[in-house]
Amino acid sequence: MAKSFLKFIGKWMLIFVLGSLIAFFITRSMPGNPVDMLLGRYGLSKTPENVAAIENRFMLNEPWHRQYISWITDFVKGEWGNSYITRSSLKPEILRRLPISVGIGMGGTILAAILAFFIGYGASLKEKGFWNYISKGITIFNQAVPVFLMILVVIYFFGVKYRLVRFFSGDGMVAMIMGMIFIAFPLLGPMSRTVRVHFLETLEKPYMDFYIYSGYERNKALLLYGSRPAIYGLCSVVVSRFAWVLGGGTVVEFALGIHGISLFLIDSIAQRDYLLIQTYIMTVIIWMAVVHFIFGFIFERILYKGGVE
Amino acid sequence: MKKVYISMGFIFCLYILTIIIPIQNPKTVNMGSAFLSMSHEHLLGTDQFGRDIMSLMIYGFNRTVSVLLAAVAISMIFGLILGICSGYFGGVVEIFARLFSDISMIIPSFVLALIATAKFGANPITIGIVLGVCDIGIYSNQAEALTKKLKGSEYIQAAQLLCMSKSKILFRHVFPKVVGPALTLMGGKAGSIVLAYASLTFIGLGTDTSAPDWGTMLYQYRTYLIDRPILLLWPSLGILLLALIFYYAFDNFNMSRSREELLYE
Amino acid sequence: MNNEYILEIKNLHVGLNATKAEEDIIKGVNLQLMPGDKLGVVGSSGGGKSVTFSASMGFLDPRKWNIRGESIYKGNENILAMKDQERNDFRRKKLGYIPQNALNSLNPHMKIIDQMTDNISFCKGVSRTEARDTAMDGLEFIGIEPTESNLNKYPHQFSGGMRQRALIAMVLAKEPEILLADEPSSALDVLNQARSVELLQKLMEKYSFTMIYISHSPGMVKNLCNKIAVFRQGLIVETGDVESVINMPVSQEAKRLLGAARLI
Repeated sequence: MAKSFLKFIGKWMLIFVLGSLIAFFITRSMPGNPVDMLLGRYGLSKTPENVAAIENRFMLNEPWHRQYISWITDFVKGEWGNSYITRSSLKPEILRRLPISVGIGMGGTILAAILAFFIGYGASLKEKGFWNYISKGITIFNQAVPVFLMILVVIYFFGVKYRLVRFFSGDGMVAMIMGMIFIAFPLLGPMSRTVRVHFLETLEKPYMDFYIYSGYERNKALLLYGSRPAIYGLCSVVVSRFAWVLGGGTVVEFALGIHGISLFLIDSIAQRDYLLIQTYIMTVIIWMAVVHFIFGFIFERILYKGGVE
Repeated sequence: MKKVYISMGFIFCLYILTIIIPIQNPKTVNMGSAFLSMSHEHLLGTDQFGRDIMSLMIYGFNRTVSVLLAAVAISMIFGLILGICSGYFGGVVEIFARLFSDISMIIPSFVLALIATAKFGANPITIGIVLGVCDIGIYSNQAEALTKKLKGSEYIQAAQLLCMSKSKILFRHVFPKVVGPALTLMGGKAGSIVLAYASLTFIGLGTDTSAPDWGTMLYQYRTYLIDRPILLLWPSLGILLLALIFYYAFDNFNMSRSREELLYE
Repeated sequence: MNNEYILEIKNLHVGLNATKAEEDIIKGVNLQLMPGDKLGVVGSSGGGKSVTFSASMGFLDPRKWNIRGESIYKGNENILAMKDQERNDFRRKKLGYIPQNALNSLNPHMKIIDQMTDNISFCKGVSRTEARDTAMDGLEFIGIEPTESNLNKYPHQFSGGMRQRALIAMVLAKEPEILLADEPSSALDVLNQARSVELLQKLMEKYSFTMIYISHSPGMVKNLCNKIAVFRQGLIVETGDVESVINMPVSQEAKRLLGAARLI
């Protein structure tokens, strides 16, 4: 127990350090001279004194390893600095937007899991049945049609042409719900296939036969008593998707204008706000470590009561 | 296998053709001929800037396939090498390979590609490289598992007893068996690369808006969805057909993906 | 219609849908059982023992199997002609089946006590509390003390022999009229086989039911049954009282089987 915990910590510390180095170097190597850009932001003219002042202020004249250490220690302390662009503190901005991204991400994933359970169950009952076709169809559809295109079509048909829903009226709720739906939809396909495979495997097991011998109706017995493997399988897919919640919602946030952390990233990249880019990468890594810890490490021990499967 | 050769050959020929055949420079804007309908001169009509849509589609195809080639080349070549060595030699190589693949699968590839577009512009090759690097882990894991399984098999042991050189064993016996599943994996990933590139160009960071990518086209035409939906039809069809052809060719319509595959998506 | 028999199998032919009639596996079986009979079914492997009775109880999938003949329960219901709901009711209330794969027939994801409670409550139509009491009695009957820790155990936490006995207890707790036991002890070691036999004997004193006991071992049949049927290549070649057939076998097959058994 302790040993695997240490291994876990070790691995993630390494990922943290490597990730931070990558983040650091990526942003350092961005085009455009940060000094010029900062001079512009602060409305200063390019005099030697101003340049020196900016360089000192942002430690831009120090060797890179000093800059790195300074940044990383600040980061760990919780001081995430000020955005180059807005000049306001980054931390509250990020913390404000994080729950939104996490909300639609996790909400969408759970929504998909619930729907996929029933679709997958239905798909397992009959090879040529309706639900199996739906499950296959959704999977193929998502593999060929990008999410932004689906969102485009939905917005324009429901929002503009038929005015059924007001998408950009400022009421964030609609966007959030749409966000969850479009995060869920691409997951329906693979999740329902997983569920189906588990149910099919379960149908082969002798204990399912025994339910039939006892007079249970096959499909009902499968759902009531044979769901456990499918649920476990679904849970592990859900958990691994949770880790992706922060990067995976980027297109959805962009297309729907949801003020999550990934849309913030897009804006920051467009405006060359290096600090945010670095911090974003670190936030993603931390998030993943947390998810893997909570679900991978802890739940795994709780989840397997009974069931030798 | 025949399916694979035919469809991949088809795409490859198209790709070469699109490089050779001279077509209208996508940057020429001619407001006078905006919204022309399909004709001899403009096979698919023109858009709001008067650009020939057929030329745009061809350029877009070319760029998308370039991304695919770059990405697949990087992830397969490095992934297979890493995976085979890791599976066969074990030890330090294995530790390194596992670590690398864990990290490459943790860092969100889409976001990394986004950041890369800011730095290098929406250059297909660069984006292809970034996407490729992020997928190395998947190929390497699969190759490692297969190699380990093969290592225990009888004919490998026989070859070892016969003092066949390691590189010969790896090349003659291990590699052919590992390539097959890798190609199937590639077929599954190819579609998602096409979609990812379309999404990246739709978001359009660091792009020259006159760059003729299918995603960019969709972004530019989005306001015409109700009035002139045909504009959006062509790039959408392009994405759809290109993604589907890979699934068809590599028989990814076989729907029972293993749990491991699903977890790593 | 003879109302005395609890089960009458008439001219049963069973073959695979994919093959022709000449290649039937079961080639015309006739059998009558009185209520309370304990029929032992023996014969070498592949003789058609399992197939015959699986077919007569309606367990074979008509999409795969071609079944002709009748299997009449209590003189007026042909099991083979039952509709889905009727058949499920029959299996639930009247039939108890201990399959060959009894060791793996318990649901690994549920505690044994819960499964038994479910099963008894469903089959007998009683409340869960009553069912649970019955289940606990059943566990005690097979030697599992109803302690806190035992009641929380899952099937894999018990030995194979214990699981099988739990299954037998569970099936009989619903008080079926016919018990079909298909080679219930073949996967167990000798000690556990003896325990299973002992359990069945105890249960036969407690409940009354008609039993069909398919077995490889004439020895076990002798301990449990009053009648015996000998199968060979899809037909019954000899039938009668257990004592007379075992002591004085008439058919070649019976002689062979019992001769081999005598060496043990």
